[in-house]
Amino acid sequence: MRQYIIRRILISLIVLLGVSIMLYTLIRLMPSDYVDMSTSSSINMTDEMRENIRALYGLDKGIVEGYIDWLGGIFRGDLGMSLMFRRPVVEVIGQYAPVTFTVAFIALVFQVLIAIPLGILAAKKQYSMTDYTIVTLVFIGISLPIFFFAAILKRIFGFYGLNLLPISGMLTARVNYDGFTFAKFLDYAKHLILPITCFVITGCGGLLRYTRTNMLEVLNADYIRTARAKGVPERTVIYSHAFRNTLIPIITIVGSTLPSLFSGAAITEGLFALEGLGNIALRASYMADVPYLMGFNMFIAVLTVAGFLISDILYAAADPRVRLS
Amino acid sequence: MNKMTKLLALVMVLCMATVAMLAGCSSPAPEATTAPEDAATAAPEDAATAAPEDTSAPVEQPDDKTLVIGVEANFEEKWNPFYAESAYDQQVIEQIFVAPQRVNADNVLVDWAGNISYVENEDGTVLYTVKINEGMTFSDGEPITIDDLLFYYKVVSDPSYTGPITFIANDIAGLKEYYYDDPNYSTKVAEIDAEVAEKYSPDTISKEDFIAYLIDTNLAGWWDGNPAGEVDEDYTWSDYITDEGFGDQLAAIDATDPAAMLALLAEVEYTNYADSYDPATYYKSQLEQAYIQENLEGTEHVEEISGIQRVDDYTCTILFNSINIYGDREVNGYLVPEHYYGKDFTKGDVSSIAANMEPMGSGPYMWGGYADNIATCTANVNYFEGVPKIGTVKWQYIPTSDTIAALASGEVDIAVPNGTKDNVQALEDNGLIYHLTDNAGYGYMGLQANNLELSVRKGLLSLMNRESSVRGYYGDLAQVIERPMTTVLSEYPDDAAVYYEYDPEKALEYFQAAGYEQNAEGKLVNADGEQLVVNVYIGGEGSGNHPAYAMLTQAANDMATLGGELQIQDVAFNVLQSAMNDGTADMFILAWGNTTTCDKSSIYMTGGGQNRTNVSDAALDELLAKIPVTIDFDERCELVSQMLDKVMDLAVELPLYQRKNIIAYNETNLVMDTIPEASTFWDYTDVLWQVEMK
Amino acid sequence: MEEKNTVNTQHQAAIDELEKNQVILTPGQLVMRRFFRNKLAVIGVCILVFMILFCFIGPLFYPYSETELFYINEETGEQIRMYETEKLKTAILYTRAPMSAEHWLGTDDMGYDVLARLMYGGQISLMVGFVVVIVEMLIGVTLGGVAGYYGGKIDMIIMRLVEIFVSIPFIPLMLIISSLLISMKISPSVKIYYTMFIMGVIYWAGVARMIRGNILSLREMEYMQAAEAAGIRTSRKIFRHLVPNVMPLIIVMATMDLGGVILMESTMSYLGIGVSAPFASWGNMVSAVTNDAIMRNFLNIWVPPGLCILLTVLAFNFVGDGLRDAFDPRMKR
Repeated sequence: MRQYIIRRILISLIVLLGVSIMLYTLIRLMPSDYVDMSTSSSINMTDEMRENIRALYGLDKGIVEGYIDWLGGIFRGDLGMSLMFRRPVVEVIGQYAPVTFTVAFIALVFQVLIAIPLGILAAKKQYSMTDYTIVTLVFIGISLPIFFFAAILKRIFGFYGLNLLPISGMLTARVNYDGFTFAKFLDYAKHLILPITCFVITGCGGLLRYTRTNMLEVLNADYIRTARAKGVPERTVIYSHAFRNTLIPIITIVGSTLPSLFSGAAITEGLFALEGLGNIALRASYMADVPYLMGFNMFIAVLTVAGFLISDILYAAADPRVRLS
Repeated sequence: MNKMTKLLALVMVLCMATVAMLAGCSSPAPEATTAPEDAATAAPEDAATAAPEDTSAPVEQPDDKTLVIGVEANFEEKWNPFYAESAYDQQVIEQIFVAPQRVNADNVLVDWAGNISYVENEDGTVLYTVKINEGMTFSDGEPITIDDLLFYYKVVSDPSYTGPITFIANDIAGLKEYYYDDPNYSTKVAEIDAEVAEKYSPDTISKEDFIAYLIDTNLAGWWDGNPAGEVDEDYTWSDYITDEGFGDQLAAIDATDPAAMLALLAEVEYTNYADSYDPATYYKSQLEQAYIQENLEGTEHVEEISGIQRVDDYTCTILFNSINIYGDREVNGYLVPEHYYGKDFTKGDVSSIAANMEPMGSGPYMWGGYADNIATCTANVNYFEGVPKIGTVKWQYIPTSDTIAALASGEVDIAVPNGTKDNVQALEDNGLIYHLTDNAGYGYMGLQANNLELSVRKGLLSLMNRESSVRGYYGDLAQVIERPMTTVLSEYPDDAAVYYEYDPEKALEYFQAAGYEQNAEGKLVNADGEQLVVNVYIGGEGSGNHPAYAMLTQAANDMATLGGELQIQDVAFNVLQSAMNDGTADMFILAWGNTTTCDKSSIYMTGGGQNRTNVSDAALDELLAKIPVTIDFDERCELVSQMLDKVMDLAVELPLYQRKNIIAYNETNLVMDTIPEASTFWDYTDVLWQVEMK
Repeated sequence: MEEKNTVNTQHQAAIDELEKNQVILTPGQLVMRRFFRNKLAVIGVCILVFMILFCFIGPLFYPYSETELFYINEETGEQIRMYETEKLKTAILYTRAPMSAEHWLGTDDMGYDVLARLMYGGQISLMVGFVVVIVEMLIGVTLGGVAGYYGGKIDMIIMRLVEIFVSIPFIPLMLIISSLLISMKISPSVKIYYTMFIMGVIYWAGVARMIRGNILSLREMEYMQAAEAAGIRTSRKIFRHLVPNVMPLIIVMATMDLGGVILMESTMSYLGIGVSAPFASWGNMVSAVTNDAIMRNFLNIWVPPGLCILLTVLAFNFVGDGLRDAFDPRMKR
């Protein structure tokens, strides 16, 4: 087992190496150039001055040389300086990850709370009016782009509609808070309602479909028939026998969405003016901020690969046959 | 309109550092005010008369109210006077720092925290004297001396400085010596130039060096590293090599090996297209970098800029080798506390300064911090003009689509919505007050002179129906202009007439003059049978959201009728930028923001730093060189007018529009009497310390 | 006693049904029958047929093209079409025209006819869906199948490749690729096909993972082991036994991904990297919803494309779900 884990970790490192090479090449092949962008309206800038700045940023190096430098930095634990922010990449990610993570995590909790019970109900009453209604309503959420919902929600709850909720930002600027008070917490909460709703609407569909399908499969399994045949009450059949058996695949699915908690929804964050990782990654792509893009994308890649690694190891622990191959 | 934000945010990046810093901050010192008698000057009088009566109070204190200003694009969070680049970061920085002078509503420099004067010497040099007021302090209580300004000069002249301020471009005595860290820099740079001229100029460069350059720079960025990739639609690198007559060599190498392909392509380019590459600049930059590095590592250093002399605690002089009509703006730097920023500064290493993101200066407001998309500043009671009225000012990022809702709901007090018909309508619907100001910039279409010959350019310009397109988009908030220059500059020739009328028939004549004829199938082809195909890049973010978009669609249609093809590439700003720089774009639609100068030499001069169209014309160069050294206004206007006519005649730029900006206010919380009528160069930000809230 | 009876009756009913099915219906007919029992799936099919007719047949009966601009003379109110060049100097763009006999759904922000763009845009959106799904399925099924069938080193390599592809965030990647495409001087009308192909190439990883998992579990089935033991030829094993068993999964995944890809196209168009103007897609048309003034006052510009996307994606999802339920006998209740 130990040998398997070590081998598997080594392989994951190779995968990450592959990802980083692919990413670095693509990012550097991008035709835009940070120095060109940031000096684009600088009337007095000469080509020579630009070349000098490029050299100071290390952007004058070729792709191979640049990548080796970047990799060298990684081994020293240095992800480099973001060109756009002029601050270490690690610091920038550290500053914005909490926002992205909080929003995504709360949204995930709500998705689970909504999608799983509804999925079970729909499966229980397959092909009934209840089933059709639930499926249709939840599927509408995955049938329109997220910016569409954001615009509609803003219209309904914002200034031009019911005027109940703030439509952008994270805090009421007018108020000065001393430290993190309960009032400040409420202010944050009020601002986050609409973005979180957006995530929940667009995220429920997949989970509900998965729950419903799995539940249907289990409900038709022999042991459930047996249980029913033995006269176990329907409630117990569904919640204690059937649901328990659908739980594991559902947990796997929920678990695999963990990296996306950090990758953030670039568009939603932008529309609601949240300072999160996704929004910044989008800006960094427009500005060709090579160190930040590398740092951020690799951060996500590490999380994803770690997810694969853990699930593979767990499988191996459960099923000895896997280890042998 | 929100698509425009990203574009605007990028276009509006400030780089004319001096102009930027001058445009900001508070009211001019009373004795120096030359601004017209408007609300701005009326307000201080009220304040002045109110103050003496209030002598019982020992020190006036700011109130505890909070002003919220909406900002329409994300901050870049470069809270540093040397590095702030985006207009939005600058907006905050401008409240924290002051400079000796600043521009008034007429775009004329007037005294502020000091004074700048100059004398022309007989030998053609110009000596500027900068004085700063005595008795001023930074917000931490430390006194301000001329050393703080000298410190600013040193930082922006440092060889390791990478910020947006182009101080080093000035012709100041000893500046280059300081930058290159070598008193004999001119001989060494001359040596480098000579070496470049001798070894790397187009006529003399050896094949090895040329090929080495092509390989090192990936054919100046053209080569994508993919041997199987395509140069053009359905046209692979291999096809290209074969067509260029290198089929035999191609057969001899492994066409899937990137290195071998690159080497062969370098050979091809060297043989057939050496003219379109510029190895000289590349080698020059390489040599210079090595040279500076060597000097910095050496023992001998140039510690001072010889042309900049400290006279006393409050005065210094700066010697320019030649006349520059904007010299005063160039030397007008921020007063930056040396004791705060300069602790770990040594020549050749500004990293400690660049890393400092907690700005501290002597402006009306002090840095409070940045979190949750909100930048906070508090009043600086030590501000030299007086105590600011409002205790706290916050700048909050509001997405453009929500700006007016945020204003109307009272979330923010002042904001700058995009200048569109929709926004004006929405402001009026919500009963909000707004001021319209002319934007200090203009929109244009550039034509790449290297790709299109003169008659073709003229033909293309005759296909552009600007009026319907611009008015359809902006309504009354923009006007079509006839010369490529912002109308806010007093040098703009107001009587300029249309140069190229929209006339498809005339366009055909121009194309025919360039050797294109309609063939039997109705295609417009030249003698080699090649169809006239032109591309144009526009930043409509993929949805055609741009004032010039309809103009291009119409032109593409007319062009198709004539038998040619106009390909419209609707792309993001960064893509447009690179297509323009590497010559992929035949035409491109762009805008200049914050170009408050009539010196357009970097744009049109042969080899100019911002010469995006690669225009090169001896007569034009001569006119351009004369403008910045012509001090007489009328004479300068005449030269500018001639220069612009020449540019039009060369058909490298088509002026499109002069648009307006909006500044909108919600008067619920504001004392509107304390806010001046906004103009291009003067608005509430200049007197923010006097603005009051209800 | 009574309880036992009920069970017996139930059991008997099941056997009856089973026999009935065995006698009368082929597996295909069974699937069809189960599919048409699902009303949502049937509605989905109807919507899709309607959309395809609307987008591909509709333009034949409509006078305007998607890239035709409309102008209006402000003084006379006379509408001018783009080929009347001599009248254009005094005209301005006829933007945001209300619904009228000339323009059934009005004109949009750029002065294009909304209905015309809705039809042509639908063609593009549907095409994007089909091309991407075909590409991702071709690559994903092949590689996933190979990995699952052969296992060992090949499986190892392919699965690591899958991990590499899954690890790279999609939107930043597409931003980079889109700017690369433009820098290669690819004309906008062709660019979308390249984009589709690349999207398919990126999306294959998810498909490959599903197929591999499915094949792995099939390999463990008794009949496959029997086939193994009997020494049946590899090709026969694959085409007679594996492919028919994986087919339902492929069809279901493809149907659902069709909807997903149409949505992804609209997200990309919103970011300016999808189908770019002057060509229409439902995605870039519906982006107008984020413009506040249009959102509030010009429903005719953003509601129709929004409705089209909603109905189409919903329909693909219904059909996909219906097919899955229909293919999987275990789903029958």
